[in-house]
Amino acid sequence: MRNFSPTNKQRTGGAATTVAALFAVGSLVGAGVVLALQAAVTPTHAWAQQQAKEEKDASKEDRAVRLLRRMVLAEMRKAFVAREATLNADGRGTEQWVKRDPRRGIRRESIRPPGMIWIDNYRRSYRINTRENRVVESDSLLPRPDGARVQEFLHRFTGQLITPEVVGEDRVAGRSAHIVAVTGPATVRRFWIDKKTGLRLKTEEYNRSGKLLSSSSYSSVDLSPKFTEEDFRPPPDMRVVKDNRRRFDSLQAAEKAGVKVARPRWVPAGYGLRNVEALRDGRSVTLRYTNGIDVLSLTQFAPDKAPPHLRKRVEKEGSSFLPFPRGQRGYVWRDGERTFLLISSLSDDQVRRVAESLP
Amino acid sequence: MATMLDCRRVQPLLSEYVDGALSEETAWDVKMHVASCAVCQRVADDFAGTAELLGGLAHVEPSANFESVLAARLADLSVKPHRPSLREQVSEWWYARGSVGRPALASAAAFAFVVPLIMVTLTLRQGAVDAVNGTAVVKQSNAAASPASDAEALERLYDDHAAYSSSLLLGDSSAVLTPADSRL
Repeated sequence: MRNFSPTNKQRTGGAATTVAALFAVGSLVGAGVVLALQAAVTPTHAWAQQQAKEEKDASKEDRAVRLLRRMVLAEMRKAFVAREATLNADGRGTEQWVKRDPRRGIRRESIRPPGMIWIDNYRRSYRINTRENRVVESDSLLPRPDGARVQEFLHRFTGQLITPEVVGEDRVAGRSAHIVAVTGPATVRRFWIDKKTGLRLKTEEYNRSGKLLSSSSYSSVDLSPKFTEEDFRPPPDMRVVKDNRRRFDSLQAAEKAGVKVARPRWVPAGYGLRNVEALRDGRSVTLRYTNGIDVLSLTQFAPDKAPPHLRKRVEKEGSSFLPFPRGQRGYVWRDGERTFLLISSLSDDQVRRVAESLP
Repeated sequence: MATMLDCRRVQPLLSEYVDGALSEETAWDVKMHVASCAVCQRVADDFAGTAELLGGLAHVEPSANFESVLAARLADLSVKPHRPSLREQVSEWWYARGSVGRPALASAAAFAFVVPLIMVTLTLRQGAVDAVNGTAVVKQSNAAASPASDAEALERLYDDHAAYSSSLLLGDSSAVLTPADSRL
């Protein structure tokens, strides 16, 4: 009798075929599942490109902010003496000695044209005219080297209204520098930042249409300077003229001290009130707003206390634009008995909108 | 003028601008244009140089009756005796004092001159010391208290704006000496 039962060889061959078939099917299904999953989680090509670009931009911006932060801190913490040449769009320029001592403050002395010195020792600021033997003394303008303003300055970049970007490298005063461009709504400022020390070696300012407004550049830098106390004091035997302004950090502080001032309900995005200056004789109050690189100064004059030049303009024309240097413009207008002057680099529409928003 | 002037409108005004003959309002507009325009600035500098040169020359113009007056004076000189000049009169008076009176008079004059001079010098010096000590400072508004001129008040308002801009962390502090002070 023939045995139809499979031989061992036949049994083994059939099982192998089945396993191979199952393996092939499993592989196909697995590959399909993997592809399906990949398709589900993989973004489209354009979106991926956009994301990669944004990540790259963010990384570039982070680098620019890091460089700017280093620059600001270096200016507060490093001692140096530099010779600096400045040039304005009108072709006029100065040459100055810059002495910076983190402990004592800053001294700028004009070499050409001679006769002007500015000293700020963190407590008082002195503008000295040696030809007229006169010192104008006021509150310090310098930020204290405590880092608080640096943090605040870094927050300026979070709103995307001001964008910093590393745009290249260069050499200034024989030193290698990164170039960082900071673009604001009205102004573009470029900084040449020393790679070794973080010090600012050169600054250029442009308006948004690309016109160069000013340039200041170090021609030499001494990083091991020696200072004397006299460097940061006004010379003796000079006529001291004190300004009669009171400064306040907020409108509330000014109002608490009895200063009455109208505050605009609208200023362009990014601008914040930084300072209120009131003349002691009550003739005018100035509000200063800034977005970190541009300043908007709004002065409100008491009735009949505006300079006659401004009064004549508003009496004749109601409101009027005045030209000022370095791309700044004044806008003067009258509301009842009050006369206002706004100095800024804002557009016409923005200026009028600020004016119309005053109560 | 409400808007910024251009070169074509400014240049005809430059001569009057240099002479200070424009209204304050127009002068300001011209000044701001000149500050931002190298061409007009050069023309204004040329006018200013010419004006300065002309100002240094003596203005001589003969009167209508120059010739007749000259003739009369010549005639007078021919008949009148020599009249001593003031210097000659003083000299004569001085030497008439004699060798005793002259030194005495000189000492008295020197005393009368030197004492007030010393007093004035001491007063001014004390004033300067007081000023540095903050005891007798001149108070002045940086904006409008008692400006030397209207334009100066406006310039100070701008200078304060520029000084604040330059004090920003991303500001350019070279501008503290640039805007107003380079005009001095």
